[in-house]
Amino acid sequence: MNNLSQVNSSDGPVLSANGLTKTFGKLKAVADLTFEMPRGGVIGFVGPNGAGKSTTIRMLLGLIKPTGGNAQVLGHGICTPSAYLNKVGALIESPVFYPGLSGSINLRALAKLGGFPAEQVPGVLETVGLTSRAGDKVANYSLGMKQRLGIAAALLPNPELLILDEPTNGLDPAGIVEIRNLLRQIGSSGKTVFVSTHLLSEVEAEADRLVMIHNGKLVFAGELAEIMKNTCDSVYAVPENPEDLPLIIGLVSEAGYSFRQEEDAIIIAAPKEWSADLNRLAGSKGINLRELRPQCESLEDIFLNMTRGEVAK
Amino acid sequence: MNRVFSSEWLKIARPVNILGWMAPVVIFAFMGTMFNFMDAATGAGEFRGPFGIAPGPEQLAAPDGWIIGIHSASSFIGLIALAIFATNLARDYEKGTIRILLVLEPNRFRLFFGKLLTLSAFVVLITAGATVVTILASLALAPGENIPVSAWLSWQGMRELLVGFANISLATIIWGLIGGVLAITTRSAAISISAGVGFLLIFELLIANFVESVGNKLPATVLGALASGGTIIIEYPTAIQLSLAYGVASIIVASLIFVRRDVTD
Repeated sequence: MNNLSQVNSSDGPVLSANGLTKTFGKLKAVADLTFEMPRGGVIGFVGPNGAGKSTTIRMLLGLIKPTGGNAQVLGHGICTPSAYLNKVGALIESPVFYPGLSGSINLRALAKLGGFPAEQVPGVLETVGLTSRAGDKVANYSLGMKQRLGIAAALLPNPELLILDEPTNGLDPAGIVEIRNLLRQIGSSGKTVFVSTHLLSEVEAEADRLVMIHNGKLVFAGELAEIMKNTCDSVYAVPENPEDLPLIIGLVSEAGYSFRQEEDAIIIAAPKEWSADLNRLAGSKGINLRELRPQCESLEDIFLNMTRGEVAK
Repeated sequence: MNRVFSSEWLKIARPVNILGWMAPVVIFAFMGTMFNFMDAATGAGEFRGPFGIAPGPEQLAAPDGWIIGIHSASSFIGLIALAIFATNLARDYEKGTIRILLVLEPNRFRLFFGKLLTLSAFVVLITAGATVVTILASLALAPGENIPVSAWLSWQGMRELLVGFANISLATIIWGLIGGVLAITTRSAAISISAGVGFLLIFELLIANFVESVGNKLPATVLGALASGGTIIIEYPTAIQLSLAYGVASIIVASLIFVRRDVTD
């Protein structure tokens, strides 16, 4: 592996990997991963369970050594983690703390270890909404509270880069929205949030960019908007009177779009803008539509489409 | 190193933790002292179970007589030290806290030696508590058995106290280091404590019985001799050399594993 620790540029990519590989015996957990992500915003690191996300994150944090390739974090090679980890906050898998100590003492111990002022502890506890329970033993915390404490610990270094592994695990819906908003807030403040999750819908709601992996291999790396472009390429329509369906089919055929029928509904392979045209055409024939909406693919659908070949294998 | 020490000390040196670990050590040291002074005039040379051979009145009246009780408890204190090191080091792997510690202190040597320093200070603190109890118990029990205490309170007695405390502290730390290498290797507190206690209390005796030539070189025997300032079988210089060899070997093996091994769980 090349030593890239000398490379340092505050404008360079926040994360980059070049052929990053990790094998455990015969298992290739991460295979030839190559991507580059600019600074700022929220980067979603997605893939199903076992895709290699945690292994990649551990390599980026210097916890395990790559078998091949190299990577850089904040311009420093991952073979010298001490060069960049003071600017990185991390929550690795489920957050773990000393259960017999309070949340506040756990954070104070971590602040001492990292050389950060203990005065930051109340601030990060407030940020994650744990001030009122700061003096309670972690053993008495719910899973969601432990997640919040994990995020608080990751915020202690006032990091340039926040690496979070499944940060909304165990949170209730309100907690998920809160954390999502918090991550967006951090991402928009010039810092970078690299958030790993297997919940693609979550990433769809919070990420600006994506690194998508499957079976240890890169599936996609780029802007979320880019992958979501042209995903609303069908229109879903249901006439109020099912007997009008053949007339609708006739209108669709006349317009030259293909379609498929699902019970009383028709799904037309047309851009979402054509919904208005269909509404007008149906109206002119005296047909009332009970439902008419563009049908968009979710990130989950896109992911499944992109990995269908591999899943079939 | 200071950062690691202050962080680890904050976690370990809580009153409940200190009392929890110190209580059995103090009780054992007190019992060792009590058994030593019991029937001092007539019971010399009697075997008193885990506390060993009872000393005679002359030994008890000697300048080091007031800390003989803690010598009797040294193996037990050593096992407690082994458990303290093993529990604290293995727990970081079992709970996964090692991950966050390594992100905050990526210099693994610094983290490891900071942890060892903290745990060593902690077991010395526990040993100090046991030593204080031994001294107080000796002073309280001596008059009842007509043991003169003037030699204890002389300069020579003070010197013996300090040297004795240093010996038992060093022995205790090395017991801890053996627990440490087992914990780092197995990443399990339960396995490392069972393996340590099993080897040091059972297998070592068996080995010593079957292979006499190595019997006085095995860790529990050597550390017991160091804690007592030397014995008839193992002289002090040999005890200190072999003990340090065990300590250094434990540190080298444990630190290499700690630094080089991937943190996968």
